[in-house]
Amino acid sequence: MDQDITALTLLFTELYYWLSMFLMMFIPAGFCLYASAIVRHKNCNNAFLTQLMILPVLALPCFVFGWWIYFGFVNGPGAGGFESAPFAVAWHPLAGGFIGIDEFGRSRINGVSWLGFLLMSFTVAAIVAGSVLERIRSGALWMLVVLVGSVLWVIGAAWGWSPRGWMVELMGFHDAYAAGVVHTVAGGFALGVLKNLGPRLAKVSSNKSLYNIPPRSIHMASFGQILIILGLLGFYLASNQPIVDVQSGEGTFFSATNIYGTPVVLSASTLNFFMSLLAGMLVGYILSAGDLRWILSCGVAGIVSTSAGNDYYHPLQAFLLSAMVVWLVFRMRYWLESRFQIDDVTSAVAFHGFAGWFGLVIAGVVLWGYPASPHEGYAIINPLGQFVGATILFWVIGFIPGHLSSSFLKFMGVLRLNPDIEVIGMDTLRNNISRLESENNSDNELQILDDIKEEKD
Amino acid sequence: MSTGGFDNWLGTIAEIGPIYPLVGSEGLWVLLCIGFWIWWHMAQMRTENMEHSQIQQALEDEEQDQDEDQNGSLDN
Repeated sequence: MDQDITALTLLFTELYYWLSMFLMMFIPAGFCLYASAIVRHKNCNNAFLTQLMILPVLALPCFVFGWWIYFGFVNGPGAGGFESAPFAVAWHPLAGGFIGIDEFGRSRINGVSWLGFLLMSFTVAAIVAGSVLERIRSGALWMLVVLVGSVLWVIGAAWGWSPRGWMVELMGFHDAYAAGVVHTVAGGFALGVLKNLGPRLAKVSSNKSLYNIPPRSIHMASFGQILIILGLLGFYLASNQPIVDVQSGEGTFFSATNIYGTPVVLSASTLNFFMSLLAGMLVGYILSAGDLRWILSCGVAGIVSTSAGNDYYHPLQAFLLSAMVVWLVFRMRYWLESRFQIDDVTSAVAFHGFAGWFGLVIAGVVLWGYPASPHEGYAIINPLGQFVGATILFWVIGFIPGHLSSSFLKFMGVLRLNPDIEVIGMDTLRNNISRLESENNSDNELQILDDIKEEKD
Repeated sequence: MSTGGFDNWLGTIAEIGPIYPLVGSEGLWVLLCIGFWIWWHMAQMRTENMEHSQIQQALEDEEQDQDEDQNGSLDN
């Protein structure tokens, strides 16, 4: 009987993660569509390509070292060395298909867990990529996304989004649905890169104020965001363990748990997801005076703003907190642009970085005193721990490496497009070449048609 | 000959272990993949540089043609 239950649990878990991966695959689709619609017509295909290639570019580094960093780095800098995680070591038999008994119990779900991890890496990288569109060189961007997508956010996840992370153990850090380790890190990194990259040429007026650059297609951008939101729902699912006996001591109580292993109610966190989304959209409507461009962006920011604590919030708390943070970050977006001349195409810094940061700090206040882990000896969730954790994620893991790495690429002269090419747009010349080829083809066809007619005559 | 670590499915399934072929050569695959990854980034940069030079050249040619046309019409 026990064996039957174990087998059933195993198969259910495997299927559960496959389903969540299916939903998460909408994230890349959404980002590609969103990026190609938010830019001007002359960069549309290039923006799509830039986002599309992030996933293949990340695959190898995430498999070879990113996956191991997540399990190996949980002890933090200079404390306790690296943890052993053979199933995450690329050359270990447990990293591939393995039938049998392994002491870590991961052989059945290792591959699908890694896929979820890769899609989270993609999300971090795509957030950064969206903010720098229309003037960064693709090669430079893809090097930056390897750094942020397979090293930096993973270090953040090992520290604060892992059952044994040092920030969880010592500071009571809590980030249930990765608002901090994904969105805050991505926002901080994007800010570091944007500072070096500078605004698009069309953005800056002669008196140094910034122009508005309207997107190519607002409704397509919105549709892309709907796909991203669908993917984020999969992200929420993947952040849970679906069925675990959470009863310590005698007796059994099966429940889903969050990443830290504490019991959660899946239907409640799903409800909170939607409450946060809808509150963000309502506030976005008012702040933008009904501008479709901002409504779903604010919805996403709403999800980000409550994701740290959406496993335990009341639905109405999620709603109100989302509304408050979205109102704040919407204002901060303008402040960043006008005060610091930060040209952030998708507002990633404000809607992901700042929203995640505020969300983490607020979770520290609202969930103050909650146990951060089911294990003994862990700190409780508290405002100071969340504040320090959020600040480490934004500045130490996000901004500083983003700024340094983009400074290096700028020094090498490979960060930004040549102004001539930026003005003409990456698609324009490629399209011209296609047009010429197409004209040549037509000429060829006409010539053949003439020959046929002549032969008939 | 068998590239797998087992030759039938009749034994104890739980003792099979890795199910992929050529067990023991994983280190080599890792090295090859790292090599491929580095090569890809270098090749991508080379391709991008080449494309940008072509665009730059095309723009310069166009500018030169326009200048020549303008000078020609002024001479006339």
